[in-house]
Amino acid sequence: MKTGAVVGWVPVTRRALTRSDLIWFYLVPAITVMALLVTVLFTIDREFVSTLNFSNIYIYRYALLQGLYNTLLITFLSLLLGISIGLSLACLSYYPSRPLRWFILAYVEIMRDVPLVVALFWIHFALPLITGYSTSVFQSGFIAMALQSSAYLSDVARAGIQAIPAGQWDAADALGLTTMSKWADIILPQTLKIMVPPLANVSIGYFKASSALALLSVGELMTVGARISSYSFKPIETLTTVGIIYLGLGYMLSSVTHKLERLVKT
Amino acid sequence: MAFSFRVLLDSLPTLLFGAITTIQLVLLSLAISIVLGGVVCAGRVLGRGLVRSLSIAYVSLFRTLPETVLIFWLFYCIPLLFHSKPTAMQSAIVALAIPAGAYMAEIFRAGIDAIPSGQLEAAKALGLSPLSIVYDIIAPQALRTMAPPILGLVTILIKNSALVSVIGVEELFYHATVQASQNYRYFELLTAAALLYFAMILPLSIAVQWQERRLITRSH
Repeated sequence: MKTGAVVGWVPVTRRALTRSDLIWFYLVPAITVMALLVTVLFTIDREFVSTLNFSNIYIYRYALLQGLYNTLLITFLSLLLGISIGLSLACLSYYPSRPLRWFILAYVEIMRDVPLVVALFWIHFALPLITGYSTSVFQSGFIAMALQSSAYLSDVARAGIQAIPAGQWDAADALGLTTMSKWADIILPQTLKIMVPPLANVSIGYFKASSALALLSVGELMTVGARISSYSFKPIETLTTVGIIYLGLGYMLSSVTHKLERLVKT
Repeated sequence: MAFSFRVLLDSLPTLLFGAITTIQLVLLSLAISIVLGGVVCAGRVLGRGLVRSLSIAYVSLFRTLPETVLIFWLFYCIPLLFHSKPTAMQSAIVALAIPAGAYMAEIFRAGIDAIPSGQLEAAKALGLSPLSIVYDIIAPQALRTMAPPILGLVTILIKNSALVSVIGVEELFYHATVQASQNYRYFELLTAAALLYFAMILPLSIAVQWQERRLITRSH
């Protein structure tokens, strides 16, 4: 199927400006943006805006750094466990056993269809009533993120295994390799390579999603931001700074992902 | 502490009431995100210069910013910056709709992109009017490829709607946690909330997987 039709059916960028282009692509957006700007300028509390002072945030730099460290740590640790569980589930789904496959299907669906915060609170408040062992907020956040990411990563791993050409399986069988050796030496190394770009995307997703752990005050960046903003009564400065930190790191991670994608392709 | 169905039955009406608020939240923010996504997608595909770069900036900004940060920011900062005080529900709807609009714009763009250029050329060659081209040729094909990701976005919206309990919107998760903190029946209430979310999302998730499979078999 030939794609890339945008150039085909929207030839605007290729031809000279007509009057209707001028109206729709310049005049209407320009008026809308101007109207929005004017409304904001007239309704905004200018006195308050002039009292904003972002240098106050500098006092809290160590707290914010600690929060950032916790965010990165919990994301890294939970993804590590998530990959192990996800890969195991994907491999086990090739084991010819119907109950096992049903169990994996149910596990993945349950983990994907429950919001992260609900899973987090369930693990923190409800699970100890069954196990009798109460976890710290950090541990609960780690478990919740690991379990949820394992469901997505098992899909990623399964897609990776399916992407391996049938010839590889046949060759492994023809060489008389054992099942263990076939998986460990032939299938999984190639799967891991295919998995790198989607894995990086899931990692960015969970870096973002870890901010939801603030609902339980797990101690990551968003928790710290919310605490500082209510303690110092400076929500604008604090929350904007926290947002910028998330944005900066998010952009950095996604540019690394693009580089990885190119590396894997070649 | 044994699982008590009595507690569950007593609190079920409240939870269901919360679930209705959740559905309201999701539907309203979905409606706003469709409008936002349409505008941003048009700006990106059709626009030039500033309009185009603003659309691209919107998409990349709100796809990278965590939802929780936006929920907090809108609820605590807007009343300070402007002299209006939106209710928690209003700011929650906007906070859910803004990132969803960015995703929606990308879904629309991908849907349009997936239409082979020959389709438009054929429609033009047949002398169809621009309106007819959009309604009879582009829209039916684009909608078919866009349906799974849009349903997927709805499931994400339902999941993210649990986050707005932090600013006091009385939706499903809010009621579950508040009730649980009153009677210490965390196990019953949180399990019930999780099951209700599961019941809301599972049909959508199945529909997405079914449609995706159908699309794949169709394209082969």
